[in-house]
Amino acid sequence: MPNLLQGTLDLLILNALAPGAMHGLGISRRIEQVTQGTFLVKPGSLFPALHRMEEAGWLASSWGESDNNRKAKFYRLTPPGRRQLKSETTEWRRISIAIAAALQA
Amino acid sequence: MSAYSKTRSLWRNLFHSRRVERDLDTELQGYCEMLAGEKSAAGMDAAEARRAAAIEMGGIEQVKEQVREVRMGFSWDTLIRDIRFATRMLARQPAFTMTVTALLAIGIAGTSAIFSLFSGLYLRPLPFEDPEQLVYLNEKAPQWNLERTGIAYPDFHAWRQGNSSFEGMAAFWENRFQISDENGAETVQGARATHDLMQVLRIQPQLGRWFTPQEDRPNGPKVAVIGHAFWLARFGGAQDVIGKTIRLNSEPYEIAGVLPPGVDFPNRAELWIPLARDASDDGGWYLGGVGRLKPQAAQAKAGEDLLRIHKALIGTRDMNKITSPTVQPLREWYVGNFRQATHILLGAVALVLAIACANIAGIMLARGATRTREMGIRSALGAPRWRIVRQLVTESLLLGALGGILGTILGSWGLQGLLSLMPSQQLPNWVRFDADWRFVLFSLTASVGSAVLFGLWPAWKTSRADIRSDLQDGGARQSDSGGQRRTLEWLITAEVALSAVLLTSAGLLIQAFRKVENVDPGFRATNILTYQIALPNAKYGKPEQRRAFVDELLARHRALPGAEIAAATSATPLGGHWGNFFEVENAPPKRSGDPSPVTLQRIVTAGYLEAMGMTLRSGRTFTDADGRGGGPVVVVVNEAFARLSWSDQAALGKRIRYNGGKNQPWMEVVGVIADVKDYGLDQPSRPSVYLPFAANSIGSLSVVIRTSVEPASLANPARQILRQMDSDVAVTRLTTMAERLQQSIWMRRAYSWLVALFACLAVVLVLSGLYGVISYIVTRRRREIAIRMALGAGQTSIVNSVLAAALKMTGAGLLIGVACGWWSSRLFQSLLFGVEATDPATYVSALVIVGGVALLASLVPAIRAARMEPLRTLRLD
Repeated sequence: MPNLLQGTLDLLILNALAPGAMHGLGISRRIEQVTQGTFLVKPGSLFPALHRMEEAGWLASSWGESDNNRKAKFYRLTPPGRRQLKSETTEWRRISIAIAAALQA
Repeated sequence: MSAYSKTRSLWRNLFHSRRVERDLDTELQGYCEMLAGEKSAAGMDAAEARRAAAIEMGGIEQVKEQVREVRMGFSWDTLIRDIRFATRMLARQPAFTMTVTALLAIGIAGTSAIFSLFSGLYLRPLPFEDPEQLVYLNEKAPQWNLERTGIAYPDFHAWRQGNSSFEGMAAFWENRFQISDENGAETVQGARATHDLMQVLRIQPQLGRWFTPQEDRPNGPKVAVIGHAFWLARFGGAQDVIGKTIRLNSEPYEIAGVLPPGVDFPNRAELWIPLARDASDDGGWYLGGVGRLKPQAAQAKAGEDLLRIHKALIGTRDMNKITSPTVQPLREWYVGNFRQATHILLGAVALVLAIACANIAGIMLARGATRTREMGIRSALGAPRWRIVRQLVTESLLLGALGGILGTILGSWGLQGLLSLMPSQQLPNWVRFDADWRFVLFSLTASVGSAVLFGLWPAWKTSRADIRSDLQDGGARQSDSGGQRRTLEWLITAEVALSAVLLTSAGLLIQAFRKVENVDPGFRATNILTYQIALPNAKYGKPEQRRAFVDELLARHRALPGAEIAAATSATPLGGHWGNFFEVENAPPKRSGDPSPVTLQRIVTAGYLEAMGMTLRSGRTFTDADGRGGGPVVVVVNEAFARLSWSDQAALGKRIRYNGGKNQPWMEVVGVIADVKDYGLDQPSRPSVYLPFAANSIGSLSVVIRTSVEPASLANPARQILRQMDSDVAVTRLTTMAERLQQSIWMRRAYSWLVALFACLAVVLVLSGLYGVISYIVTRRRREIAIRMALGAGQTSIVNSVLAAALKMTGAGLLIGVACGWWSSRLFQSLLFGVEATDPATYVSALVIVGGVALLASLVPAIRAARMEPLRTLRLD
């Protein structure tokens, strides 16, 4: 896995949760899927990030059942989390365009 | 929202940590199971899937730890956990905990006690506004062999008018006043002062006013300002006290003002009256001065300023060739004489603390070695190195706190004990020793500093231990890494060296003290009662009145049962200096600039030299007839005076007179006495001249009674006689000469024995430290020793090898310590009273004591090692 910037991981998690609530493994699988296997998020990075973002108020969590009936903690975006996703997405676009331009020059 | 969520998280993490932890566990377990489920769904065997999931997970404990680290209040939370854990660890090893706490407490107790002393004397601000601007003024005259002569009023007058460095300056003369009313007389400490004193000190009277310049001149109105305590005691704090009169030295004085509480400048004064001098006064040198420097004015510049003015007066004041002004910080005048002793004690306690810390570091290091397995396991479980170090430091800090608190308590007791050694009234009233923020800060720094010092370094070493090898051999390695052992050896060497420094210093100081104690004072101090009186000028203005009073007083004293001789003097030995200058008949004229040491002048009644037990070398002492009836005046001189004036010629029959003036009569020397230690046992004697009281009937006297019974038992009878004769005359400073002699060396006694006490403490610490380390080394080497014994080594050779190891450390330490001791003794050479800093006896005893202690400390473990049964030891492993 490439060295993930903290901001990148946050953005990926927020993005993964945009469609709806999801548990830890689900989030990690979803990131793997949307990045076509570029980002494999290990539990050692995932859980600290989830807990940090929850304490920051971007995520909320609740206990639920997984597909195969196991107790799992589901995370979902809170309104501040959505705002964060929006502003980080805009920021990311701006930076990636700038970097792409820089690399083409 | 965000702040709210953060606060809620913090609250939850701190106060519901158990639920938070349980939730985290459930979440991670769930993740792991889901992962395994995924894998078995993909066709993996169930057990295999769980294993693969656990590996992919990378250790649930590590993930938990990583999550904990990002939590709100993480550092707080771990701190609490560390403390809780450390408390458990310490409680589980009470012997270790108690040893370390006790060691630290000893170190901190000494340092905190001595620091209080130092802080009270030198760190707390003087009780005046902007005290750093205040300086003490005086004059010195090296040519007269005087460091302080007192200021002559004309000099002061010129300084005050001509200087450009001072905001203001004032002069004072410490006096005792007799206050009398219908209930009898009492002596009160007070001062005569110039009108600007309170302005210089920036003190506003609480009631009324201070003196005006009009009152501060010769024959001005008789006014007095009283202190707060005096006001409360005598007037019950009445507001209408201003304008009332008090009888002071048998004359009425009108009260002009009351000063605020705590003001007793210069020293324990309760009453002030105007100095009332003008520039024409030339009563000699007797004033003290206090000046307030202008902001930013340097003390040295101010001194130059005064010197310029002082020397400009030479035309009219010839003596200003010899005298010159001195300027020093006011604090130095008050407590400067304690400085060297305080520094020595501070040094001694710092060494004790250092030894205690080295001791503790040794224990920690040895304990660390036995804990490498525990550390290895924790490290393998995912604790990062800094967490382990942090845990160990927390333990040290906890020990530091325990030892610090205990030590501070012990230290405050020690300080009380220390202060009880001090004779009363040795210190100015403003000196206080109660705990303040400086003390708290110091104790905290010392405890925490030592804790970190002895904790951090062994912690670092312990945490660096090679974990894998340690786990593999199960902690069964028999000898330590050379590095650790060498560190222990260094610690012991350092301890021994430090204790040797303390021992040699203590030895030198004690020898000096003994030498001082055994100095012949020139008088026999036992069985002498003495007290002072001052005959008020108003009643006893004429010499014959004073003579009559003293004759009667002494006669009545002599009649007391138990009294052998009663006599009087201007001042007893150790009772103060009164200098004068004499010229010798037919002496070759002196060139200016030649030293002309001041002569101590004592005025004595017949019988005084006998009462004091002074030794007559030749001639005779005074008789009742001497000085009476206007005949030629005779004097007795001491040997120093005879030597100075007539070298080795006989002094008897030679004549002297007061300096300056053909009108002064010649006085014949009729006796020579041995030198008396008038200024203290460790101070040189000055040339002295004794004059008969009958020809110089002064009114301020010390009465001495030589008794055949316990002298203190005559105190009350003597008081009674005085009260019967004149209730206006008060008895002051009643004491015995033996007591006065003891008091004169109390400081030397105190610091010498305190340093000795600290040296003993150091030796005990070294004994325990060495014992601990040798025992530890022997334990760690038991396998090697057992093998050697199994291979035929005798018990003696085992004992020898252990002792050799011990003596190697001790020997090196001793050599270093003795060298350092010799070097450091130069720092207090001036206190050694002629004891050589290289005094061989001291060094030999220090070597023998420390060497003996080292031998004792290592002999027990060595014998224990030699007695073990090799086969059992080997089998045990």
